[in-house]
Amino acid sequence: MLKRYRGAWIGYLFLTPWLIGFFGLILGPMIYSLYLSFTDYSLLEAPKWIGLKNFETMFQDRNYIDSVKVTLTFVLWAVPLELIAALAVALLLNKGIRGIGIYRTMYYIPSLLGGSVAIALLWKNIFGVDGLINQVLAYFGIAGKGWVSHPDYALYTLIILSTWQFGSAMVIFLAGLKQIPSELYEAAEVDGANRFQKFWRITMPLLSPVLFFNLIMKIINSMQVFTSSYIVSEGTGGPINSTLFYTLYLYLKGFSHFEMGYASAMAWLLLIFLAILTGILFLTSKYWVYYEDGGRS
Amino acid sequence: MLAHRKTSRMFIHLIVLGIGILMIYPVIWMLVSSFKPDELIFSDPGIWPKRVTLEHYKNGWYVVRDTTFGLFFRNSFIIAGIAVIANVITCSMAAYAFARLRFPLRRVFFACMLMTVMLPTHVTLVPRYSIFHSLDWIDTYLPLLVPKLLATDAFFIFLLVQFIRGIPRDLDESATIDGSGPIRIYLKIILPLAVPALITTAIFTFIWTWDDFFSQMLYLSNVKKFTVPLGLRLFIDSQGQSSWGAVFAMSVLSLVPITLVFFFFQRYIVEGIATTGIKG
Amino acid sequence: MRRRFLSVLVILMMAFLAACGGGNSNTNNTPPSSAGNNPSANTDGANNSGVEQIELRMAWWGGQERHDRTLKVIELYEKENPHIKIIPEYSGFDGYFDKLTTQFAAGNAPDIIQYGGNLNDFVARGVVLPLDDYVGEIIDLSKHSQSMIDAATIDGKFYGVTLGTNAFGLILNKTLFEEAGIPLPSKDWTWDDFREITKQLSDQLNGIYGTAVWTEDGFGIFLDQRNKVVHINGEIAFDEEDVRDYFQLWKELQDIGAAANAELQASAAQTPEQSLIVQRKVAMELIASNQFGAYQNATEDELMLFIAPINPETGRNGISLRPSQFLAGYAGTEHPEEVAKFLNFFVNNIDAGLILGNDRGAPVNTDVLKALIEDANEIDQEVFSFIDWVAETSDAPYVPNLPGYNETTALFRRTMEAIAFERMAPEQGAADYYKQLLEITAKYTEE
Repeated sequence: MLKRYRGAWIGYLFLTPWLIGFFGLILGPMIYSLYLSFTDYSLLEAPKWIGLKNFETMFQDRNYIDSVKVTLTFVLWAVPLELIAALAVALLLNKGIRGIGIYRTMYYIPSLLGGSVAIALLWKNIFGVDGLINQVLAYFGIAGKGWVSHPDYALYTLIILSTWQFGSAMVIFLAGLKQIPSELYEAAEVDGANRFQKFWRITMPLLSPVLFFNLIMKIINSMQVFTSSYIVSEGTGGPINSTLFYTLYLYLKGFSHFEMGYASAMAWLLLIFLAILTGILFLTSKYWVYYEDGGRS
Repeated sequence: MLAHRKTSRMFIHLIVLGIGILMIYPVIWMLVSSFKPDELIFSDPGIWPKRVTLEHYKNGWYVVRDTTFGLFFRNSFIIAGIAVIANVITCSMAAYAFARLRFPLRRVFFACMLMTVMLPTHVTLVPRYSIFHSLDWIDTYLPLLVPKLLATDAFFIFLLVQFIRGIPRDLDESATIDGSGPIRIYLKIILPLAVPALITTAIFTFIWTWDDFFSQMLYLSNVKKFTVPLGLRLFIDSQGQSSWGAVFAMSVLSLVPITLVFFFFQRYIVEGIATTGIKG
Repeated sequence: MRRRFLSVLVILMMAFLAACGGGNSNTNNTPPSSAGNNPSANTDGANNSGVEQIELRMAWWGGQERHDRTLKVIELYEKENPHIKIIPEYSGFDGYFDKLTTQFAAGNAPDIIQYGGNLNDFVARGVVLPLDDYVGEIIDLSKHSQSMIDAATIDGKFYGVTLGTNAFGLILNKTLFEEAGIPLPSKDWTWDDFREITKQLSDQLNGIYGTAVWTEDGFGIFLDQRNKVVHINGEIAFDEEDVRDYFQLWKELQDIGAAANAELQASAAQTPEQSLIVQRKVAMELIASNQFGAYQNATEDELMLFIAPINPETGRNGISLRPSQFLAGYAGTEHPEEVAKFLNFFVNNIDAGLILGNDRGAPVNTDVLKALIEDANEIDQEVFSFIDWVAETSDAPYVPNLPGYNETTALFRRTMEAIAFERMAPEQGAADYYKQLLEITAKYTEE
């Protein structure tokens, strides 16, 4: 045991900044918010201990249930779509065609616009009743909809928007592709492997750590999706709760309805859910994620 | 055969370019809007402007008295620049420890690190603000920068862990045989081979810090310390009159640095700098 | 390649070092956060050494224009009161209240704060400074209309000066009326006239609706026309059938095509520039009068402010004068008296009033208003004369927002949307709304 950890100090040395940050800045506020989840806290007055009441209220709160449904729908669609788009474009833009840098930048630009103030207007301009999409549809004689203002379509429009912002995942895939030694492909070509064989036997296994990363982070980020709905619905989650994402509702509860205790309870339920899900994914990872370090972690 | 190849290459270009234009259509629209007179921006939202004005750029640049947008750009550059350096160094250190070194509680800390991104930040905002307030750091850049120096971005640590684990361990082992210690291995082998991931970290840190409205809004109050995202919101009063033309004009300008950063640095992700190590 | 990367790194490192220098100087200057709590530390820079140098922090939100005007008034005040330094903390509306709430929670709020209709939510939680001790001697309310004083009086205590008098009004697109060939309504029009005119407008104008749906703001007007109010001290004072009638009225107007349909209405944004009327989707919309300028400046069409249709049974138009925003003090301020002095200056000083103009609504002090009317532009003139018109034709009392305003507004909006999209019949929507409303308001009256 002791022998195994000989020189452990060097590990802690490298971890020092993170340890200071974790214990100094992160852990305290996290524990405090856990405490708040058992209180009634308006932010402006002292918190009052109310035990499990927040958690009990949650399951009778229609808005809460709506927000869970909306968010799960979003995650189930947006995560695969975005990952597939990012991977496909990364493979396409990994080739040496002329002007590739400009193309990569073009495909990344939507992700630059993330929280821009102007973007709400852009989206209305494109998806509105008189927006660009409907003008194109009208050209083909199809009557359009208010894509962000109709409760049946608003959520799916946001899913498309998030797919459109696949840039970050694409960049990470590109970096992952870079790490694959080209000799492997050359050797496979000598053996007469075709494109599909090369993709499934070389690219996918060697890209799996990065794919695993993108999958986990996309799930976590999508469960916490906030900005798009905050901007498009002006923070209401409307029409009729159709874009009331979990974190948007949490934010409204905490800062707009002055129920930070309830918001904290929501946050901790989300953390528990995500921790279990991530744990399961880590358990499955040994069957499909291939590490060059031989899986010794 | 040659002609066929040429047309198919043209075809690829056309597809890539066509989709690319769809991707950046919103930016084109924003650019066009920034030249439209105020009364046309909303009543005439088409892509071809009826009339054109440069007024918004002037009006936007001199955002409020005694302050220009140039100051906000400078401030944003300082914050984003320091954040990049701090994140690259401290996150790669933490990632190296998690991916390669052995020490007690490593798995526990790794799990803790991942958990920090699972809790929505809204509920830790107030206690965090209180910490910085008690340190007397409010209205300085410290609440924005010190967390970066302390590797609090778990996203990047996890990213780098995945990349470092993709580096063959034989390389470390042969270096160990040659007498290199962990610090030397980190500097001479891991960092050079993780350059694509480090560049990714640097680009994302720059862009995300540049765009980060909420924490900058929370911690900065003096307009002289404002950053670009805060400056952009100075034009907007959701109930009263807003200078949307200026918002568009300054939004266009604010996109220039991050687009350039991406454009100039993305090549290092793909072309790499030190590919020699992996062959050796 | 490697060299270029290195040089970029070096440049970044230099930026880092330069910034560290900058960072240090930031921490050395006493930040305003500590300054407010620690007046004795701020004696440096005081030229008249006898008087204690005082710093006050002041927070407001707004657009470019408001920032410039407010800063000028602060300068004017500092010139007249050299021992006072006002530290401005201004921003756009986005995030303003999130930041404020966080500051309250951490005990670091500004001394002087601009509020909107949500003042009562903050008063209820004890963070707003009661001003009764200063009224008369320091804060002169003699030129303020009683309704504006009442508006800032909660549970018998006075909490803030009103920054502007406002009234809801209908904004009409004159250009569209002309295009449709429909004469402007008469000043004593009724709801039947309203229904007819909006229907005609929709019929005449291709793809444009007569009116946008009046949301919760219109409900208060509707209730007043029935001689009722939304609530009295947080107790709901109307019946389920009132809200049912209101929902039915609008559903019907939507069904006959007189009011904007569900999708269009749901796409309406709060900002004047993105409103349905500016986008030429509707010919009428309900707005707060101080927004008129913003609407007019965003379009080439000619707009005008108009009074709401009356209920023929009571003869009331239901429009009340209302405060646009308040300026109030922080309960934890070290210098309540200086805060009170500044509040008084901000609303009662003629020069300050002339600088501030109509940006936050018509000035509450009648002398300031008179001075302002003399050199007001055309748009402001129209707003002022509308306010006059309201004052003459209506005695509707101002009813403050419901407690838990954000939550109840969200509920109202959601219910109206559900009805418009036919997820619920108006009857069921009203029943649902009423039940949940009582639950929400009960949370506040219990305490």
